[in-house]
Amino acid sequence: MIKISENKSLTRRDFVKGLALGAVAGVIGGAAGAVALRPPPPEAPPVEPPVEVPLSKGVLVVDGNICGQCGTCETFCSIINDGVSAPALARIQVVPTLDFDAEADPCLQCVEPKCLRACPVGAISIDEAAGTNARVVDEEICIGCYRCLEACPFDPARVRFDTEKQVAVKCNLCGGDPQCVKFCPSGALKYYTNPDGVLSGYTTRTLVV
Amino acid sequence: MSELYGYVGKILRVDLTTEKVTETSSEEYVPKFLGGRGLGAKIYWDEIPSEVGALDPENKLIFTTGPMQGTGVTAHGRSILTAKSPQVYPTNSYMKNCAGGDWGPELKYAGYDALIVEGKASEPVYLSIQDGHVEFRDAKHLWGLDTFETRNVIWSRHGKKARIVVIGPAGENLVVFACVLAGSGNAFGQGGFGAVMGSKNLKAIAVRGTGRVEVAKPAELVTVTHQRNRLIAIRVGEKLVVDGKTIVAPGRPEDRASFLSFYPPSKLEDEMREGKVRIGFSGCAGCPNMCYAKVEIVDGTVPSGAAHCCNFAEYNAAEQRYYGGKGYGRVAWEAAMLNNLLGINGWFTMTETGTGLTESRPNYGGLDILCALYAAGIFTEENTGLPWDKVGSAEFYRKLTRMIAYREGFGDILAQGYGAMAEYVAEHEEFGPNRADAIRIYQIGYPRAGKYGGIARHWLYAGPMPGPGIPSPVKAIVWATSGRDGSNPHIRLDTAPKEWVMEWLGSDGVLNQEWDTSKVQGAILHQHMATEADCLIYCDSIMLYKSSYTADGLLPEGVTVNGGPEFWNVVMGTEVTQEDLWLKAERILNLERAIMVREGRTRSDDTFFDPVFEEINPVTGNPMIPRDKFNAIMDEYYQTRGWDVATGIPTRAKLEELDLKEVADELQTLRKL
Repeated sequence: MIKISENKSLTRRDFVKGLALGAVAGVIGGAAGAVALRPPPPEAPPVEPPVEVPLSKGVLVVDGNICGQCGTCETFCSIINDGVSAPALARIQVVPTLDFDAEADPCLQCVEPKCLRACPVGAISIDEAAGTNARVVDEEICIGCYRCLEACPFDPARVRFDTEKQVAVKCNLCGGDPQCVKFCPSGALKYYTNPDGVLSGYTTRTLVV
Repeated sequence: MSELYGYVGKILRVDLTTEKVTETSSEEYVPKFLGGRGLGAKIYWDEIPSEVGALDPENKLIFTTGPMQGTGVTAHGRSILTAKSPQVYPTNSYMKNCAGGDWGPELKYAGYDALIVEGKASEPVYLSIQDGHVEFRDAKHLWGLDTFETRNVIWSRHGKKARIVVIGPAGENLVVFACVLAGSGNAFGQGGFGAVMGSKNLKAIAVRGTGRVEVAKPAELVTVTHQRNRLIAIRVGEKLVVDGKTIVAPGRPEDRASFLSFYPPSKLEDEMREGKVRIGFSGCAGCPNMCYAKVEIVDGTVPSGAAHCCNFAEYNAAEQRYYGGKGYGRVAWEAAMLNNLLGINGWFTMTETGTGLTESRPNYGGLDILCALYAAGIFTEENTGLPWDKVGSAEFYRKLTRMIAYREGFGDILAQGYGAMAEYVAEHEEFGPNRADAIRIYQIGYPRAGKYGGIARHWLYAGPMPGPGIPSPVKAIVWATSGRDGSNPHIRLDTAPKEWVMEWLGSDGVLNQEWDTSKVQGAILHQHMATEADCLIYCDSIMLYKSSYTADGLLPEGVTVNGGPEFWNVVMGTEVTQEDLWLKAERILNLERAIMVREGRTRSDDTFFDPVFEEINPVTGNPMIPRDKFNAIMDEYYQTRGWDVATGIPTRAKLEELDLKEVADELQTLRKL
């Protein structure tokens, strides 16, 4: 059975706010070394997002029957992308399902990417250069305002926040060779591609695969 | 700590009496004491004097992790809990205990290598630790709830990503074999640490961390871990080609079709095909072995949850005998869940035969002891309140576990541990004319004589699983001198591939079952391997045990049997040989011995009860453990260890050689040296 995670009710926005505040409090508390917060977004006019966003050409899918919640995708994602083991930074999250169960839940590279739309400075773009059309964050442009995390319709947000660099980080499909798929010890993760684009994740109308 | 990769650098200390929270640096202890079991032993040595009772506020719960936790290496999910144990009988003493799951890594992501909980709260509380913030939360309304209910309340407040250790009613009621449940299907089982938490009015500890663990060589870590994960992910009967070598995992063909490789075809599996039950695999953090089952009972008449193979096996034999047909059905599942929900260490309520003691199958658990007391005419329904003709039924198990957890009726006696129970039974007339035999039956099941017994003899004997119960000299030495059982049971040198044994020991004497001194080096190596695994910390079950039965000696180039040196190198960034790691382990082992010596242990406690020596090996017809030969190899053991042969106390020369001069000094002050 191939399964794509369901989108949650949009009222989860409040929860994400709480989560974001919690993460900030953690930094102030000194857990990861106190780093001064970035100033609010600059006064420059917001960047207009593109009218139409091209579809992603690939998406990660999880077989929930096989996934054993070992979290190797989480630790390896952060090790490979950030050089440290930090599941909170992982672009794929192991999410509780039943009380005793959980499974990997990746970024779905949404048809209508709320994160991209929410970014006030145009830091999130379509990775056409890699040929994946993944929705990616440019850390040089990102101002760390959390708006993309708040906009993500999934819980927890698939855009993650690096509290040391004070920027958002996000699944870029590893340039077309997703490492979580490569290293999943159970074989529960698959990389599904279609040169015409994949209909996945959150759209304004419905959830499709 | 900038160059000490693997550790996060801080130890959190929480005083429940004063609600004071402090942090100290881990540098004081590591890397000398490695982490996990070594770190716990060092803190115990420094902070818990021998006169402190297990249920006194002065006892401390020392939760420790090792450098591997949270790094993503194979099976990094484990963590150690060390404290004075109320289960050790008749003298409470040091014990360490390991749990799987993912609580340990989460503690490191929250910023701590270790957590020390001391004192006693005036009213029930639970602790919430979130990225360096500690809260004392009221738990009066949680007191009395089972472990799953408590967990769900805590999740509703702190989010479902919080990792929780929790006690059930058994811990609250100070049952000396109450466990601390870690997550849903893992536990700090042996030691009765649930009662220690209960004595501190501490219901649960929730940890949530969003921090990071830095490793020296991230890219190599991925390669080394993946190489081992591929070996471990192999299932019973499967074939795998690694680096051109074909590896076949042995196993019965019928097992391959079952839902878990350990289990034969089962009733639950049949229900799965009918859609009444959903079953999946689950594993600890970073582990592809997936040795526990996630089971959802659709109609909800039996609790859903997760259980490790031994957890699920606790009542299986009895269920099968009582109801007939295949095993591993709803009743065995419910039994596993009852232990988890009430917070009982299932070794005390498990049965391997469903019939009590048998000559042919000498491995058994606590319920077999109780069944044996019934078979001997000592227990009746009148004097215990238990329906002995219904052993194997759901009704019996519900009654037994409830009676123990809430200390109802005879459960109050059982809850004091089976040593105290046997003595009580022997002294009270209502248990009939045979009642003195209770002592002998207890001694067979809980074999270590002297002041530091109270641990069931499961795994005293090695052998293929399911084992015929072959007596093992190596295991006997390890058992006799251990602080608990023959931990870690999955290290089985006497059944390891010959090439490995030759490489490690230079001889293959350890592979036969003769009671000669060639077993001493094997026992010492077993202890060092076990200590290394418990300190770094990785899982002995998948590393050594699974390596040996899957790989049959065919390990790929550059892969050591247990992975210690490879993982050390990629996490810590320094080269270490297997011998170096075993030398570090020897230091920890001597420190643990010094702790036990300080608490009164001597060689006279490192032996077995007479009935154990009198048992006959059903295969050879000889005594299971020939007393003279056992004593002779124990002489050799102390000699080789550098401990005094007469007293079993480490010598000053040995302690100083291992850089433990301060330990020798204190033992001398206490007139132990």
